[in-house]
Amino acid sequence: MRLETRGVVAGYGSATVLRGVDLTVGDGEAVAVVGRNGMGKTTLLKTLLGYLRPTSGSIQLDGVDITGSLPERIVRHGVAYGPQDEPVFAHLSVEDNLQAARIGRIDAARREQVLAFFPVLGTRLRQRAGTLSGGEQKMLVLARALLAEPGLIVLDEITAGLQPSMVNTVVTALNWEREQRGTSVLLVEQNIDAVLGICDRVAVMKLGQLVAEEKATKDARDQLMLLLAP
Amino acid sequence: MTLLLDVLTSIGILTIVVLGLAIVLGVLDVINLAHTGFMGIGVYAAVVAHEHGWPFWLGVVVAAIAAAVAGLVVEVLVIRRLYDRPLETILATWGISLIIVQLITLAFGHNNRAVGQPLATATSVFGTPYSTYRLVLVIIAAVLVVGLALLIRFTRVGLTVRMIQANQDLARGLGIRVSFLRASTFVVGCALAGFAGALLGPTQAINPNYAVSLVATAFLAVLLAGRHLSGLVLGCVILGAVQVLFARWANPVYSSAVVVGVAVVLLRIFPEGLTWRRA
Amino acid sequence: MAHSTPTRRTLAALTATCTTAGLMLSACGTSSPEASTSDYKVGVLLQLSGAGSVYADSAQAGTKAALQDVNSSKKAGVRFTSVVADAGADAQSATTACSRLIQQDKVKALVVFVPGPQLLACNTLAKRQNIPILSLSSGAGNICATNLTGFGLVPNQQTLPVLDDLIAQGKKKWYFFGADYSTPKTTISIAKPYLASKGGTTVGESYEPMGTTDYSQDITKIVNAHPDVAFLNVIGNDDVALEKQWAADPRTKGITRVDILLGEGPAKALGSAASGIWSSNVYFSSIPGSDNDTFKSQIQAAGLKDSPDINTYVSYLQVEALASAVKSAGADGPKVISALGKTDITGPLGSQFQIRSGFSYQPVYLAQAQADGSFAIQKKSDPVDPKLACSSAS
Ligand SMILES: Nc1ncnc2c1ncn2[C@@H]1O[C@H](COP(=O)(O)OP(=O)(O)OP(=O)(O)O)[C@@H](O)[C@H]1O
Ligand SMILES: [Mg+2]
Repeated sequence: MRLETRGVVAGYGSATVLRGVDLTVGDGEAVAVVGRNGMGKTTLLKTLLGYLRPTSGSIQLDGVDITGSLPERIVRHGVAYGPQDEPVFAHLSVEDNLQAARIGRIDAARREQVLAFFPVLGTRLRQRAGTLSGGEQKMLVLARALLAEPGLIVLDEITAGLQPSMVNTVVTALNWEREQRGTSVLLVEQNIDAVLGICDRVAVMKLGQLVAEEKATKDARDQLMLLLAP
Repeated sequence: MTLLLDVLTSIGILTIVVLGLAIVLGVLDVINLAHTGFMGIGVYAAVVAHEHGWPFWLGVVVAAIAAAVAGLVVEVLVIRRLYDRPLETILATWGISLIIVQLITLAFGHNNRAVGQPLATATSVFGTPYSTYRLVLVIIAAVLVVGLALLIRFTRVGLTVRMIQANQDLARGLGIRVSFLRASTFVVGCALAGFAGALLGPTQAINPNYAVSLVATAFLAVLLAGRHLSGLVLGCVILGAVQVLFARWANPVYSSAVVVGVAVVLLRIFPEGLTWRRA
Repeated sequence: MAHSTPTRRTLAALTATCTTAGLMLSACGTSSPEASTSDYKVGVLLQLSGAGSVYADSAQAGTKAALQDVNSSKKAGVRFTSVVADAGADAQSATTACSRLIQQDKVKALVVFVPGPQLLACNTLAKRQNIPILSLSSGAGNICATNLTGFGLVPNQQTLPVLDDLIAQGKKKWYFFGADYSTPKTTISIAKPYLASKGGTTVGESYEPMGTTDYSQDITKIVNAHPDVAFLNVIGNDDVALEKQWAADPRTKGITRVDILLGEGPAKALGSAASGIWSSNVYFSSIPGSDNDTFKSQIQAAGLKDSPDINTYVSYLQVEALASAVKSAGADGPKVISALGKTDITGPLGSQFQIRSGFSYQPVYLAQAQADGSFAIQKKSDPVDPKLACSSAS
């Protein structure tokens, strides 16, 4: 699935946060947006998902204009979204949270494969999601996104607070998904190593604009660290 | 035995009245003051059915449909614009209830009407003869509650409702058409109101102010219920039992006041309603 | 949860809702056209909204028919015109409506059909200006004032004949059940000693607040007391609910019901659920005879779809009595009031209708509801002296 934005301007009330964002995620491509705190990364994802209405600019999914559409409509084009805040239904069980992934039926074989990445979830199906640890909740978010069989996965800081081995699991799972289904990926990340493990390109956001772009290679690591340094 | 049946049937009747109100409050956070209005629409639909010689139970179905249609109109014209503004919805639904009463008056006049007397026979419960119709109301209440519980617990629709209750934004992000579901919920709530209105027709006076006095206890029960079905049933059981038992063993004149008192005390102890959800 | 302030759109929606409701409510204050200064303007106060509005249609038809009769037969000497106002559901709205009638519409007399509290509220205004009030209710004989005439029966007038008759049938054990409200309490407090004086016994007595919807436990109490007669004295919607629930309860078989507050309309709507109920009143539409047939067609000509009932009849009498008083005394308030006190007219059924010391004196009919909810007249009893809570006019 191909995502393309042109000159997106958006914000909260009168406060403009995004000041003209041009971002493209090609079909099957994985792109990361990195940047310091408060630069507008989450705002960008919320705008792409339809939670915020751009004041100007356009957003297209596979050539279809979705600017100003409601989140539920955008998601139904085949987008799976893992937000940064309150990413699970805390009062519902893990099982219910997984069931919520798709409007249609969840394929049993796929469910087994996905849960194989996160064995802990399989043992906690009846527990309320809000009582999972922070890291376990992140796994639940990723598992839910994978179960949706999406064309584009959008995740906001999925590795935040994860132990290094779990970060590796996230990398493995997303790469598996890309290989298996050619799913496009858009990540907002702070963990550069995870980004390099998954993505093809990295865009740097500063004060609501994408100011730089790098190929996600080992060589770009130092360059990126420099851009993110205070 | 009779006392037990009195308590049981009173609880059943209260539950039937409350269900639609509770669904609308639980899912939409809308206190529907027009609930009695929709009960009125229901009972007058049943009246019309009765006057056309249709069987009572068909009239009950017609009642639910009529109230659902009216509910849809109200949702599209008014409620839809007022979600997330509790105070304004209260005012608006109050206004709607006035309009409904006036429209019913214009269409049917002030006079009492009838819906017939179905099942006006006695059934022996362990040797105690008791009104069959009231017993049937208890069964209907039980079927509704159990059916609703199963629906919410085990179906996709139920999960969707729980998702919306839990976190509306997240639900949208998972493709749930929130506004459609809200409208559907409101319509179902109104249909249940119409259904309840028709069912209680044989036990109440039917005129434009139908059900107005039924609803005070119903609102208390809903407040007690919090947002869960279990709380709702518990609320109805407590209020229904208190009302009947107090009226039986003490002075009925004060039983309504006692019911309010019990509700207030319980709400003090459980401000979120009678649910077992941890804070 | 988002917490936003009211927007223009919300306010617009609300305003639309409320204005529509308001328009519908206020559309009720109507006045008959082409009034001239020599006319005698009558204010008609009744409940057009709220629970009491159930009685409005039938009462208004009586007033209308009587006004037509008075004007076409020139019974008052002057032309009667009328203004109708909605007394609403509480004393406050009754006061508002009443002061509008008196101050703005400048009515010369008030024909009212409202419950006790609203009557008192209105009378406070009318008394000061010596405006006669002709009222159906008299707060169970509790409300007395010089300018006030009660046209309905007071509790003893309505209750004692039916007690006499049922005791004569050998039904001596009575259970008294009423609404927790002054009229039923007064009625029952009069009925109990009378019953005892006739050799009957009271096997139980209890009350429920107004607005009760579930009477199952009351019915249980009554059944368990094993009375011959259940004297059921609750009001309006509650009464219909009680009678429906009573009829649906198999345990009540064999207990005779007396319900003097059950109107003919509600009884008709109850249908078979009303079957067997005893009632007593000064008018039933089923009273046989050509006088009543004439009266009924007169009422139908005034636009009432259903048969006239007690409220139609009394509303009719009120206007007729006013006309006879105005004819003899002119339009002057105090003179009309004193003339009303000596009212002696022939009612539409051909029997004498008299007012003595502010209260009515007229024959009472005993009737029993049939399987279709209509009342069959069993007996016409002689007028009973009103027994009043207020001994002297204030
Ligand atoms: N709901 C809101 N209302 C007003 N301003 C907001 C809102 N949410 C975020 N902002 C502001 O928008 C700017 C961008 O916030 P955003 O959450 O997009 O940053 P971010 O890049 O995701 O940061 P982080 O790395 O901390 O998650 C910040 O200045 C923030 O204060
Ligand atoms: Mg963020």
